Amino acid sequence: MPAGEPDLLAAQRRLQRALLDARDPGPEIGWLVTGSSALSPAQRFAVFRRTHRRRLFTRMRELHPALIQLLGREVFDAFVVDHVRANPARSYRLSRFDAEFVDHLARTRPDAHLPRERRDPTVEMVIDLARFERLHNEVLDGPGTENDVPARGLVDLPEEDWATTRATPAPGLRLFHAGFTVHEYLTAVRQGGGHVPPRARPVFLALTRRDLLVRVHELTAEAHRVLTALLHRVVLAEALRDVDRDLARAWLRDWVDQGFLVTPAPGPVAGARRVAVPEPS
Amino acid sequence: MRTGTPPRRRLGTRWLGFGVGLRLPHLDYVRQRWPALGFFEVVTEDFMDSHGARRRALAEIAERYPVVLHGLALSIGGCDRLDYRYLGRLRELADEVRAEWVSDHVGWTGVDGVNTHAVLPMPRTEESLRHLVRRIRTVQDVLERPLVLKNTSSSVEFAASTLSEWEFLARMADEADCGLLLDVTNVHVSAVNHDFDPVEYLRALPHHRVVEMHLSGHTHHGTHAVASRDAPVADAVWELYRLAVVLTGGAPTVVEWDDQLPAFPVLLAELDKARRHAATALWAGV
Repeated sequence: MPAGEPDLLAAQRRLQRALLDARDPGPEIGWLVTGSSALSPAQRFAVFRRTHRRRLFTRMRELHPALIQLLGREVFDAFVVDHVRANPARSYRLSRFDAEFVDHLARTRPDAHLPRERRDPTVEMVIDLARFERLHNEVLDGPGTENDVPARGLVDLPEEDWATTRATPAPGLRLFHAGFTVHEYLTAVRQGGGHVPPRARPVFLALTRRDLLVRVHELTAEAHRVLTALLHRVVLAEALRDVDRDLARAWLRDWVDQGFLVTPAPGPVAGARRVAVPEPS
Repeated sequence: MRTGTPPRRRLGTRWLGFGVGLRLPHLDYVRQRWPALGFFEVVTEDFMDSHGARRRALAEIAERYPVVLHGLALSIGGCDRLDYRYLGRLRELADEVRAEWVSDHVGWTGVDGVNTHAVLPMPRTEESLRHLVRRIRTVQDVLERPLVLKNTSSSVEFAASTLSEWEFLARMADEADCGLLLDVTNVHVSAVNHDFDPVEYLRALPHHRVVEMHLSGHTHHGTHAVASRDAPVADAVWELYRLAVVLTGGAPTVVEWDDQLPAFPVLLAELDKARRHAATALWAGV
């Protein structure tokens, strides 16, 4: 290495440290970067840091239109900055950074030390909305139901076979529950509304994707419980044990029609005894 | 007057005409209208790890238009090991959409396992050049297609830099045998920020290696400029673009718009301006 030439790794480490550090690097940054005819090194570095954050905000904002509507840009951006400082990203995938962002919000909520019943409902609403937008994005990028074969055989399956039958959920099916109507709020924001915050009401949702659309289905609490059990590969008889039989059959028919339950693809399933669901002849 | 190489077969690439940097909010518009344009440039990371709606939409688009990939995360100048899983997925996507070429930025995204989600500037030194050239050759071997690298803009420069940006880019491209994506807006912004002559910059590049050009809006703050990509292309940038067209003989050109994204027809109008400026430049030589 010629005399006076810097070590590339050392230079990159110093710039990265200065960029991610919460503190202003001050005039010492002049050892690392130059000034211009108009700005000192410290002033130029401040512009550099602002620009970096702005680009990150732009990308994060695309993932959370409803959260921004609820919080305002300034507060949302402050949350992102706090997250970057606390948890520098390790992956190029923005989706992973966003998942960690949602976890960070939940972890650092200001009322985390309080018992659940004394926590601030507004904070709960913010976290519910962040979780919902995160899941919505995940479903949008996940497998769709376009090529699934609905499990028609489940609809008329004799009840004596329920004890040995496990339904197969669609690979892209996700379930969600929250204490606020965050799904209605996201829809309103996308339609140019969202001026009224989500309402406090327990909501139980199933999300799937078909073509370019994420479909959000609202369920009853009981239906959500049963569907959760089916997702965990509990046999039908156990999952539907306390449910009225006519209602249970109506749910199965609806869930097959909606593409929630599909005919299993060939191949073994670890940890579960798969029982073939007969197709109607 | 017309100089530079004819606008075809640069490093074996095709002349694609004038295209748009496709952003996700425009996917529906494009799939409903199939607008008339030469090609789409897509952000690699918007699609690489998607196995859902986006990827399906891109497949439909790639059936109707030529597609080129433009990445943000290769970190070709970084000191961490090259991410071969990333490169594998990049090649898979490039094969799937039959990408005419793959581009990224001259820079790095992080070190010691951190990803800043930004492309950071390189210290322009002999050591950096050797490092870049070695990694570009490796990536081109893996991808089995030309790698095209874009000049970035930044408000900072390393105090340790010993080479001008144009000298650095020219030597990098020649020694690594790679293509250049000439971002004309970035040249203008860097010229404002770093007190150099953008004309000297453009004249010094190896013009036959310019595979693609980028145009976008920027913001001038008096003491500095930022490539904000949130506005129409400025007059000063059009002027440089005309010179770049004359010097290169014209290269496929993309209009980029990231922040405060307007309706798609606004981008098409910018593209029409680019066509007119390019035609004027090639006709009149200015």
